[in-house]
Amino acid sequence: MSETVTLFVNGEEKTVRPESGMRRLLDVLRDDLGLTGTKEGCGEGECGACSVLLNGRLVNSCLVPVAQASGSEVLTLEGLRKSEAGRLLAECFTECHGAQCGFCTPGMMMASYALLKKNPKPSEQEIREGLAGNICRCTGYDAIINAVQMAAEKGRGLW
Amino acid sequence: MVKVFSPKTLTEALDIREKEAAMPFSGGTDLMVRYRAKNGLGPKMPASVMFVNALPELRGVRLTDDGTVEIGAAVPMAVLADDPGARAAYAESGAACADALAAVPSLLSAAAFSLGAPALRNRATLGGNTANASPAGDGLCALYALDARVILTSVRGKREVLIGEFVSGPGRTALAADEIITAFRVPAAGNEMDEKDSSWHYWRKVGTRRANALTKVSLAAFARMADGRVGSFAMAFGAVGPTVVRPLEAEAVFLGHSAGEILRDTDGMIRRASGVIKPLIKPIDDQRSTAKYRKTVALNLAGEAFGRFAAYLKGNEEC
Repeated sequence: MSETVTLFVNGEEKTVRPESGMRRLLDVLRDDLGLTGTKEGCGEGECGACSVLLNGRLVNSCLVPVAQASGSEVLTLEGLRKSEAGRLLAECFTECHGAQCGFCTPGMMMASYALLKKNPKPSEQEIREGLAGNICRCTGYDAIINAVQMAAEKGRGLW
Repeated sequence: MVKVFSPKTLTEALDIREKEAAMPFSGGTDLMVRYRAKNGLGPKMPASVMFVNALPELRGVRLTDDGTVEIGAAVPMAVLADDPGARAAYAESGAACADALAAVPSLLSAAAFSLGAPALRNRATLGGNTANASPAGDGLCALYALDARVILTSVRGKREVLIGEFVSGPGRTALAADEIITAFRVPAAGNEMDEKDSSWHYWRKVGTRRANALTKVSLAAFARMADGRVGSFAMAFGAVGPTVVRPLEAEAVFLGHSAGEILRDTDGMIRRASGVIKPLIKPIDDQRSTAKYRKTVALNLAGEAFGRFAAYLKGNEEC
């Protein structure tokens, strides 16, 4: 009999019964809870496509065993885009052409949000450091940096 | 199916460690990759697992009376690296006070900042980096240069081991089957305003990419002045041998000398120290780099570090 794990995902209490506590948070989000905004890229913590906020801090959900997240708050792209901050970020990504194929975009937005929450007026260098763990193979990054700068500018007091 | 334990206190954890021989599991940034299975499946762990990164006893940072700072094994690298907002949030959570966090040596902060990227640093810990015992471990390399002591705890009690004695080979340590790494003791960052007792460090990591890259070769160096003389001087090369390499004889070239003495014979001393270092650097070819590249770069890093050290001494003299 496996144990249940309770998570607070995007503000809602969710109880899951993973076959092992070592099941990855990423798989619980995508397969058990149907939240497919979180992507699996490398599965080794190197690409950032699976980024979510765990108790307010950016993590790679592919490296988090679900039992370790028991009782924690999890924010995924689905939750972020319902907030004013998330809507603004999405708008800025669109306007600056910060998304092309879109696979890295959820992780990029989570990392951008985590950064702006800590540092609402980041310099270009700080944005690059903040997004350093997220790989994009389309944009060449500049468009994404522009999107974060625009969001910082437009979203004063929002984070 | 492996058992998974989530102890709430150190006492409970030590008990589980002794009875179940469960593997201590902290941020998982190494272990989840090492035991990774197919996509969609959790990792295939070889033994029972015990989560240790929420143990309050492993999350503190405190100043001690003897001028060292004791850093809990499960303090996230983001806090050591001083990522934006990380220390303030950590102090606010009550895990450690701001004074103690400010005493984390700047060498360790620099090494932690070069490790991974924000998301990894939020999870990775010094305890995990040390238990992983990779010769390319960035935190580990800094600990060598700081002559850190590893605090190991078991139901039998506590012991302290010098970092160089704790790590015995790649992935091999002196951790006993019933022990947990609970903390590290390193020299507290001193009063940098007093040039007679100030400290100096050098850190450079060479990888394929600025973020999330495993180290091809790295160098950590740390020196502390005592009454105008070099009281301690240490160098630690990462990824050039089976463990981090300390060239003790090269360090001894500078030890005990005043800034003036070193500045009068800088080139000669650097030549002597470099001569000692050269045969100690015995890297290998692997998927990340070649032995030839690593050796060349390691010696270049040493040259750069010596140059910076001389510049620091010169700056001190002119104060």
